[in-house]
Amino acid sequence: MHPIDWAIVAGYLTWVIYDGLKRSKDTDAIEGYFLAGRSLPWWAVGLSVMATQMSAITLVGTTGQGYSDGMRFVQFYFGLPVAMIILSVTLVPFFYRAKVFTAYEYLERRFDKKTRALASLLFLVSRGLAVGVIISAPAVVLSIVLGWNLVFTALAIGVPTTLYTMFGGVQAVTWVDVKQMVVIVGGVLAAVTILILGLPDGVGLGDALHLAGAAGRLTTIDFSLDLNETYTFWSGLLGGVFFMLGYFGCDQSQVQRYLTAQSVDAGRRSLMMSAFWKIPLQALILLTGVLVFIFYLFTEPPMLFNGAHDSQIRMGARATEYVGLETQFHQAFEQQREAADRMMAARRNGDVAGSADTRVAFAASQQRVADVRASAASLVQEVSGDTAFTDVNYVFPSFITTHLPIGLTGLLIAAVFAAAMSSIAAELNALSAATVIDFYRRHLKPGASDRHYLFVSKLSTAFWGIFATVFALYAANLGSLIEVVNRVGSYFYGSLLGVFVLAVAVRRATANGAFWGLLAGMTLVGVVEATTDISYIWYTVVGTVAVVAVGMGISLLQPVPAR
Amino acid sequence: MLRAGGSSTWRFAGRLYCQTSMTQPTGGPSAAPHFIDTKGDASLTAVYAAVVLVEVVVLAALWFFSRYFGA
Repeated sequence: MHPIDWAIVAGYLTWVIYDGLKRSKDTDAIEGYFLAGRSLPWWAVGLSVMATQMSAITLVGTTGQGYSDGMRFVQFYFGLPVAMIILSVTLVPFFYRAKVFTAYEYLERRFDKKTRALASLLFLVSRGLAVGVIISAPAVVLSIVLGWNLVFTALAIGVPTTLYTMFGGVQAVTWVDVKQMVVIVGGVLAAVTILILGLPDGVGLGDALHLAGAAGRLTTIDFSLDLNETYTFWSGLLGGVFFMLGYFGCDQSQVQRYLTAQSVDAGRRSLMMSAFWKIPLQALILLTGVLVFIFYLFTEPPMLFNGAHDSQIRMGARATEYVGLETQFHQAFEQQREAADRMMAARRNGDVAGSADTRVAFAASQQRVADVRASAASLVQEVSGDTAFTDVNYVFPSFITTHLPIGLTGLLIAAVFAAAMSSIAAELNALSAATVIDFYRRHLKPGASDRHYLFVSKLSTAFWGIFATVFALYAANLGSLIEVVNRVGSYFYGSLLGVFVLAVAVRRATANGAFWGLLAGMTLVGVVEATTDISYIWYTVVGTVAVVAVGMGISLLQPVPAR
Repeated sequence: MLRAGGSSTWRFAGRLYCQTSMTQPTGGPSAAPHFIDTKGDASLTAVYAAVVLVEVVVLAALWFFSRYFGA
């Protein structure tokens, strides 16, 4: 990276810490520290909700998906607007009027303390590990692409975030989120502009998009009813509603965002921002990946974007095989480029039959490039023993560092940092809230002064920040563990959503029904996951239905309590 | 010694669980809230309708985009 880009990244990190720390003067009480005294405007909360959801994994992984698989991932978000409306009508007013700090606090009022403790514990375990992954994933990618030390990269993400979250509380989290969203969206728009302006002479945007369409990169809607297919219209619309209800309604990192709003209406309006903008924003990020794909139709890309094991392969026993694959890749790329030229020429000449033929030929040549790349990835996995080796997350960072102009590279790297930090900060603040409010204040030291709880909350934030950063270094070498963490999350959302449905919608539901229903729901999701190939997006539906069914069954077996 | 310690732990856990169950039996129906309490809230019906409308338009646009360039 050029020194100017380094300066931009360093300046950004310094500014984030300064901006976050100056908020510490507004947090002299625990309600200010966790809920900003319920004073924030709807638009700031709305941007914070969006920033929290968009981690660096989203920014880097989604553009990579756009490059390699196209835009079908956008379907995952189709249920989000409906989920936001449902939450706005139901849980947001409940939580807000209940004057709770955490979503799980409400479960004790409705059921009992063991249900609250179990729900809060599930949140702490699953999100405590997940936040380590949120640091680890971009740290690994950035360290390889930028040639930085992994420990340094993880610390560069984890330490500033922990510092400003610890001292500034939710005020810092929210206001830094607002600015980080501007950096992220500004960075993505700048990349899109550069990619469009950088199309080769004689290649229009229409030509480029037709090429992407021929390569299957612009499929946005798939109406197939296959439950094993993760991204379809139906899984996004139906499974996605449950998934988003679970995430935005039961995950403290999101609930805490709208509890900071200055009124119930402000909280509800903050969710409407995501309802309006999430799908277009996600489509834009995927389109960025598609434009990178188009860029690399005319500029030869590296055979593998992830160069982590490159020197090991070249020095090893199968170096000749690897070099042979590189030769094949170069030839496949040249054939693909010629096929692209022929397809564009046929389109311009209005040659319908020729256009169809050249389109098929282009798609086949593109598949050959993908096949050689897949062979190279397999070879890397065999030689290095790194079974979790992946290339997709390295596409966008590699493009940023090698093809963007000076200054913009720094801005985009800062945007990746911003995406990571905005999610981590919200998670740390939420983990601290659940630890202090649901366990420390409730069970260990009730009745202490506000000042004492504030001090413990800051310590708790520091603890979770250190834990997440250390776990990130450990998780960096354990691909399968990351998968386990994600699976735990999918068990958690459906089952917790089921408990909240029981709490809010089933008047006859009892505490024992909710508690055992929660355990049964998680168990059933585990069984479904182990015995079927159903896509994980449906686990939330399974968990919710199981908790409600078992919970209602147990509740009906118990006598009606006296009013 | 070990067995005695173990059984007392289980007795303690049992007491804790029973205490939890007995002091707060269920919360039960009396603690259940009204499902939708919108008293005093501004009506967001128009905003919800706009969200649905925008989603339909966005999905239609994505579908046409996919069909036009993908066909």
